Amino acid sequence: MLAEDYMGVAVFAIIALLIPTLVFLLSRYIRTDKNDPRGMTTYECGEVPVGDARIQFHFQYYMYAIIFVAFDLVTVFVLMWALVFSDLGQLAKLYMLIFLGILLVGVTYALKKEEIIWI
Amino acid sequence: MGNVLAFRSKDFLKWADNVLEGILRRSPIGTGVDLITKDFFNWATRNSIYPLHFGIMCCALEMAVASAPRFDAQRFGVIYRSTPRQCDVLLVNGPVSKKLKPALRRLYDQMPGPKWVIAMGECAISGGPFYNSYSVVPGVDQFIPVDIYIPGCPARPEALIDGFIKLQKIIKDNKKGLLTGK
Repeated sequence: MLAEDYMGVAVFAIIALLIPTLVFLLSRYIRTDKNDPRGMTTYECGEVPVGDARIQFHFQYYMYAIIFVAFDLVTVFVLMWALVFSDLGQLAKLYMLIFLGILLVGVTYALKKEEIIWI
Repeated sequence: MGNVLAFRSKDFLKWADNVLEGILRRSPIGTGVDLITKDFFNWATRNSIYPLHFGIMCCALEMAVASAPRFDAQRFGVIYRSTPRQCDVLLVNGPVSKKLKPALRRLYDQMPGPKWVIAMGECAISGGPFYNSYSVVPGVDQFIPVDIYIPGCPARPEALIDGFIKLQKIIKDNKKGLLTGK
């Protein structure tokens, strides 16, 4: 029963995993074997590349990310809450408002503590 | 000592890669795959010529006009890309000064093969009116191999499209398999 219901999903997932792997592996063998070390450098509009292409983010960026994640979760809660808003009792609405209030206090504290949001 | 004795996983992966590539490139398998894919890949290559979006002087305006609605070079699959990693053709349009020379050479190197070069206008062919100048390189073919020369000062958009069609003929005549290079 379960297998019949979810067989389509399983097949879809397997194909979705298989295609990128196959393409990634095949592309190494269907291409020219010309490797020019001069062409392997980072592209900076034809100038001599300065430094590495990979940039390390500031650790202070962590605070911004945490605030973002909190609000990311809140959207899910609020959406579910809004879907059944008319059927809810007074208490449920109050709980959600309390939750949002706590969150707002936390965010205000974070912003006050940071002074500068490092991005 | 351990490095000398052990056959590490990295070495094993390298060996597997080499064996697979060697079997593909230096055996009848590669020749067969080339025989099957050669014509199709060549058709795809010559009908999707991507030049580098790189303008130097007045011929760059003609290049812009050639891709605008009136002359519409996109009918032939000519689409300008903004990074050499996605390009087949380096379209040199204008006098190359001695300061630009190393940068242009680096751009040419950073393009993945197979690649072609078009010298557009008199300045790119031979220096043009700046032939005896102290700062202009007399001709792009002094440091980059050129396939197509388009004369004109500036070259008209029709001439540029004609050059692209001639380049398509060149690509069709020099058919090469990707794996064995024959």
